[in-house]
Amino acid sequence: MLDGKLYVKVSFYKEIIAKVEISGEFTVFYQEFDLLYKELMAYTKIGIYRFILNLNGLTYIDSSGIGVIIRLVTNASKKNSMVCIICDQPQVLKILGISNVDKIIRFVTSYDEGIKYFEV
Amino acid sequence: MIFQFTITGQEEEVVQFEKELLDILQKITGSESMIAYEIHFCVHEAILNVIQHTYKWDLTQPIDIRIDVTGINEASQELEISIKDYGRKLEKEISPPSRIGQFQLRKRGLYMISKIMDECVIKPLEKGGNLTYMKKLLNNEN
Repeated sequence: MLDGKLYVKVSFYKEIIAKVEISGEFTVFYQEFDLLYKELMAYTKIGIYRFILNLNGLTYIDSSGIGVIIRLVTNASKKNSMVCIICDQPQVLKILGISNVDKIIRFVTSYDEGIKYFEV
Repeated sequence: MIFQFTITGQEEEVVQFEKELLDILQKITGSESMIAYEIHFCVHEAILNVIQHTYKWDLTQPIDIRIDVTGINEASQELEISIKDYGRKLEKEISPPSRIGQFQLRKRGLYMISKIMDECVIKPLEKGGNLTYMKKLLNNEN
């Protein structure tokens, strides 16, 4: 935790694929975390389970951020799907690896690649 | 070298502490080294653990952090981190799990710490509170 900020931008593709851009620091210490968590869980409740998370702007993630990803993955796996992640940040990639989350997500390089994966 | 801090769980105190921590770790390990970020992550996780599980999100409670850096020889140093809380004493020591389920959320933070640090244990203290102890051997390869 170094700059005290967490930003989120959500948009949809054909109302079934959520494109979520998360930047800053993904940790429960920030009040925006709770809002993000509730928003994502609300989407899952209305049946959206295809998520593409763009973490390219993320500078930090801890186990609370990892926990949110795991909840989305758990939900997607019930529909035999996965969560796609765009990430080119070495520190974040390292934490995804250490947490073993890299084994249960699908890495993609762009929203288009993620959309293609879900549309096949 | 010994570094000591006392913080609470207030966001601004944690942010300020973690900035200083990263600065110290980068000086010890070399600013280009990824290991500084990894150890920083472990300390963050340990503090989060205290705030979440021991203090139940009471952000006013104190947390003492002590970092001991000991030179073993010219090429290696030992880094010990002790994080003391004043909350309810644990019934027994907690060690990180050696494995974790794919979708398991509980203890994932501890599991992650154990993948980075050489030692990690949370011990109840006789006079009350608990101590999270972590150790990492640093050498030129880090």
